[in-house]
Amino acid sequence: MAKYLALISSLQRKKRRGRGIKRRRVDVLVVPEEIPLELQIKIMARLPVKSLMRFKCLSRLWSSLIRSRFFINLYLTVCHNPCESALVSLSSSSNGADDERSLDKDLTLPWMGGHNTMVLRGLILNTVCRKACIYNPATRQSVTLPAIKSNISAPQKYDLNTVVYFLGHDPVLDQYKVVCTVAKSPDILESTTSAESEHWVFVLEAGGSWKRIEFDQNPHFPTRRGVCING
Amino acid sequence: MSKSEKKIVLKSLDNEAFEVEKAVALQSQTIWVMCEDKCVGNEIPLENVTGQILAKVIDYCKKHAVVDGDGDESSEELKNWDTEFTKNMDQSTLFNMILAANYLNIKSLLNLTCQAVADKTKTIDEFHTFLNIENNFTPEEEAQICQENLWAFDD
Repeated sequence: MAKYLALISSLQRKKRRGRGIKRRRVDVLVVPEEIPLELQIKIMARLPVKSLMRFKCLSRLWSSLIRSRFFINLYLTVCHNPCESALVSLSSSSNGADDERSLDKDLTLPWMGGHNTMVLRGLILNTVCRKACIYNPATRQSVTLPAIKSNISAPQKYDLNTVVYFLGHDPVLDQYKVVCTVAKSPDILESTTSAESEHWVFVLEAGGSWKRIEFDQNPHFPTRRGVCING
Repeated sequence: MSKSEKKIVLKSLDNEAFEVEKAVALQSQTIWVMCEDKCVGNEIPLENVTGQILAKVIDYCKKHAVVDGDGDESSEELKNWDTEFTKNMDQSTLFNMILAANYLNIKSLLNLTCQAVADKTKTIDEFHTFLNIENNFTPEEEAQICQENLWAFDD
């Protein structure tokens, strides 16, 4: 991280060297000494999210810094209630811009008030038409993950087929992951089919996709929402 | 410990000397390390801080040392004091305070002053000027980013 900062500030210095002395003199009247980038970042991390979204227009450097995972994680440590004001640019949207949409100010979302809502580090996971939808209220961005191509056969008349999503953050790799459990429990009366369950994981990053996780266990049926630890 | 050992002299860039209680000065990690290493005598030269700024930093440390010491004042009162402390500072003083807090490594003062700048600086133009940030976007790029974050621009 220090390396990253040093690189950026050396780039900045190089850029500034090109500028005339005159401009510098004017600045000296305002700020007697240049504020190092590291401290500028500290100041920025204390701004409300709305201002930060505006300040993406400051410069190329700030535009990418504000979107960076480094800055987002710093922001989460500075603000005391991460659930209220996280700032996460959903990186998968950079590949599929169609998935992302700016939402209306009044938050009239088609699935607002939907079911199976889960909140983690300022992100909201919701289930809409059996698909996982992740919404960042701070940046007003949302993505809908693609549907899972499950191998479990379509539910028969009395089968109970459930799709449940969980959102998690992996602090080691600093990744956000969505876990999906597709489960089918057979109809108790006819028992023509057997119980099955599948588990899938989607890492939230550019080019992410659903990957099936295999493990030897009896079919698992989530009956309640997951426990959210430290988030 | 004799009385003189409890006191410490801080000398600013412009040679202004401030005699303070050791407990007050040691809130600065930088000074703490200097004293711990015994690399300085009772007088510590602070080459990056002017007398005007150092006086303010000492005010802050005195206030916080007293509270930490006897716990007479509630954290609520201390918070109000902090707000008043930064309320009337102009941008230039605040930036100098940030630099001083960073150099002296006083974390709570650094947080306070960074927050004060963040609270006082509202517009993009102010940031361009204060932080000497050059806008290197082409007008088209800038318009596109503004468009993407349109909701953030209405007041």
